[in-house]
Amino acid sequence: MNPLSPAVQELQKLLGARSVLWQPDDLRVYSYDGSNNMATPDIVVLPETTQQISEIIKIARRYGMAIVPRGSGTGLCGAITPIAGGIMIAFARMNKILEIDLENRTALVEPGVINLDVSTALAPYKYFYAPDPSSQAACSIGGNVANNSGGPHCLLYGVTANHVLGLEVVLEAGEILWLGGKAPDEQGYDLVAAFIGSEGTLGIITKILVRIMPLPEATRTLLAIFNTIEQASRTVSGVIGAGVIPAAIEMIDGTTIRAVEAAYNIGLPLDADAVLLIEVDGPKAGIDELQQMLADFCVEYGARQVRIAKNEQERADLWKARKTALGALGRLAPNYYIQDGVVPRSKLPYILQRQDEIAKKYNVTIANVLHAGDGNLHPNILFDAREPGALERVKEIGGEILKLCVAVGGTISGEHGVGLEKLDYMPLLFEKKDLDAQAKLRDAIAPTRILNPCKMLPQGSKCGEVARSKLSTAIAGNTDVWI
Amino acid sequence: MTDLNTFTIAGLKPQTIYEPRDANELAQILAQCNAEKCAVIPWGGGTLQHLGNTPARYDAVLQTRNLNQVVEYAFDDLTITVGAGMTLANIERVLGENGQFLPIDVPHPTRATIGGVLAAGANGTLRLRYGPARDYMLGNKFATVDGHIIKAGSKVVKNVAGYELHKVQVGALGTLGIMVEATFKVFPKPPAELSMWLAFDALQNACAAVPKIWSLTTPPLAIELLDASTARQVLPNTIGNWFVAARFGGSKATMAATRDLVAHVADETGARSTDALADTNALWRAIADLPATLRETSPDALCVRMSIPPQTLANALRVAFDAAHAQKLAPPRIFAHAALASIYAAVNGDDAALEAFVSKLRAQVHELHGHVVVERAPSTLRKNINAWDDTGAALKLMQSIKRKFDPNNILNPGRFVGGI
Ligand SMILES: Cc1cc2nc3c(=O)[nH]c(=O)nc-3n(C[C@H](O)[C@H](O)[C@H](O)COP(=O)(O)OP(=O)(O)OC[C@H]3O[C@@H](n4cnc5c(N)ncnc54)[C@H](O)[C@@H]3O)c2cc1C
Repeated sequence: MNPLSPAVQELQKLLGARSVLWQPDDLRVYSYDGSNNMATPDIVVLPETTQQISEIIKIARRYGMAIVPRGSGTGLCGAITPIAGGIMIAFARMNKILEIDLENRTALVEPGVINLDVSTALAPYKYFYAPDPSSQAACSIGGNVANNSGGPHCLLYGVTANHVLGLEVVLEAGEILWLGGKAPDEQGYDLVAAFIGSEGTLGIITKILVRIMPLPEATRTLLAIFNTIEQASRTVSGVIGAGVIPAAIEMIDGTTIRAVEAAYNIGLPLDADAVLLIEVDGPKAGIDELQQMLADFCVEYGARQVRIAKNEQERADLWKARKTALGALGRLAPNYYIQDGVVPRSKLPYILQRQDEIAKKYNVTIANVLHAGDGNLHPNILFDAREPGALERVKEIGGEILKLCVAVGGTISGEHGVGLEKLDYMPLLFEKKDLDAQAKLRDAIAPTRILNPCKMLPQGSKCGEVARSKLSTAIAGNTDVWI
Repeated sequence: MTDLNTFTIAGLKPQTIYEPRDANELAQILAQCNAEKCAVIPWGGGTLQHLGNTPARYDAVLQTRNLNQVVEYAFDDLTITVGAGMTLANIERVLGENGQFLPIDVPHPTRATIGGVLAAGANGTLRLRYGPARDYMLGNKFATVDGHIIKAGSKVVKNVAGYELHKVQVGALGTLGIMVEATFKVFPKPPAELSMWLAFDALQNACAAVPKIWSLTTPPLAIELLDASTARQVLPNTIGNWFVAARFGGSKATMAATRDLVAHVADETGARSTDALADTNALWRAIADLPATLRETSPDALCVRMSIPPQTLANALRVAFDAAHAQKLAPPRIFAHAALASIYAAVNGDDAALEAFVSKLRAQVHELHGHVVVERAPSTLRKNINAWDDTGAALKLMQSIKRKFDPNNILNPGRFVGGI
């Protein structure tokens, strides 16, 4: 793009020059998310209102340019990678909490609000917003909704979808629509459910009505230390199988522990093969019994030690180990490739063992950080991207792990999304007719595919280029010609 | 069961009853109906067929009751996959053997099928704690009009691969496809329970108790509000005008402490009596049945469900009484899921008064940011009253989805919102 391009000029007129980025240096920052995918948008805009977004879409349509919504860019599946170029809408300036309604237990927020900021704002009232991705200090609520993100405490509280009551969306024609609300049982098709997890392909989310909850009266955090990862994973399936649902059960393997220790020196045992971070919460009355029961469980399943956080500081330290885990992996290798498969919880011991075999076969190190209570694996395959062919190889390994997950009844993504990254694996889960049915939903809501094209559903490896060249025809109304 | 009268809807009878043996046969029949443009009403247990408008066309019934098997029960993973024609009671029995349950407590569990309940978007008292069914429904299979069986979602507790087509079918009243199978995350039964029954003289006090109970440090499983008529259906000798039933689950220690907390709320809000009830399974069953009891104890009553923001409970009830009063109708009989607020109200009267009641009620409930669904109307009134409230601008998207999945409009035509 150049400053004289008519699209840039129109956008500048709409938003002001400081809200339209078009110089290569400025755009570069917007070329990445948290994955290994990369592509540069033609223009980045930073709107402040829903109305502006509606106008931006109309401009994009006039120039046949794709629209890619971007939250904080922490996504791990290339869902914001603008492979067809176009206009990226960044929400950094739509970051206000508009309303906190304690009586109705809702908060109305703009999409750019950072996840953690919601709970921080609610803390004085002793309320919180439950979904807590490990990236919560950076990721946006809009991104969370678009990805239906999870987090450690989703074991008890459920994923983002369970906490979103209403959405304001801008459709691909620029129309602004409210879906859902504070009253239950919205009539008609559950469009809120359709938009959650739609990765920006159905509409631009401009306001989010989230459900908030009173903070639990008491919280107990345990760290169970195991000599083998198998003991740890058996503990997880044992606890769930016994019908005990803690607020969170996270697993960190030995490789990751050592990386975290090297970086932060939290005091984790360097010789352990795995630790489980278990949290229970609820009313004070009965919480100590629950804590004891879980501690006993861990010991019964072979934990060599169970530490219990004695105060808020110790609790924060234990969580620090989990929340900094991915960052700490940088100590071990220049790059990591994270996967996100899910297995039935009883299959955790099996899958971790098979994964170990795969690591040995390919001679790579895999560092594991799991939302173990939900059976959600996060194997991080370590590599050095400077080595020729290294990325391709780790992708192949990742694919092998995902195939195993599906083979035991699981799925290819528990929370990170499909984006570009998992497109090739969708056929592992779904037959063509299933994918066609999903495409019907998309085409009913966003037929021109101007919104985040080429994501979610496999549309051929050339999708990006095809989209670039065919968007204008599609928007003119002839949707059949397009891809 | 081949008596066509069983399948009468608003005076209309089908010509054909299909009772496919399995999902594949069901899909084939559906495709055949589509080819012949024959209007199909999917039929589970028939317990929720009073919902919606009069069908625009009605040629055939497609019964799902043979799809009544457990497809897969991974009890140690807390997930179950069942055929859509399985009754809630049978699911409860299977899960109960492992101390687990599915928190869908709606009327007539021995007849209501899981497919029907999902399609109707029905929810019971336990939704307060466990969320609506779409929150713990992990995936499903459904037959489409072109004869395919589509898989959506997954069988594991977390999945974000693909659009959530399975969730879009919850509450779609079978207008997009016919569910043949569904997978759920199930829940362990709490080790102990506590059921508190609070009696009040004044509605205002009963309503004041609701948010206080909801905010206790022990999160309640259910908080229900009953008037004297519905209360006596479930607890015949209870004395008072308004009642709050609150249910809790957790450890024995937690329950013991909670009992005191609720008693304190009762004191604060001027309850005339507070009781901790024992052996409450039958009581909660009877409470869950109340939406049906309200309909069935007065076959010509108009029954509405008002969905409102929680904070407006007292206002919404006031609005309902005023609307009835304005038409010189006797006060509505009331039962409400009080915290996540939906109010079931039943009124009797002549058609003109009832029609005026509904339009007045709707206008005022809209001001509270809620909506009113007419769940059942006397047959003479049914054609004049829209079962559904206004769906606003979102209707266009809904119609567009409908066209994609059912272009010939053969699935439950005309019964759903906006003429879908
Ligand atoms: C260290 C680390 C830890 C993580 N831990 C977790 C975890 O525990 N659980 C988890 O689920 N994920 C986790 N993630 C992944 C990531 O943080 C989440 O996917 C998060 O929700 C992305 O939010 P974001 O604001 O960065 O969105 P982005 O990455 O910017 O965008 C994500 C998607 O949302 C769309 N989008 C953004 N805003 C809007 C909008 N307003 N309207 C429509 N579409 C929009 C984008 O187009 C894209 O498809 C982690 C990532 C990192 C780097």
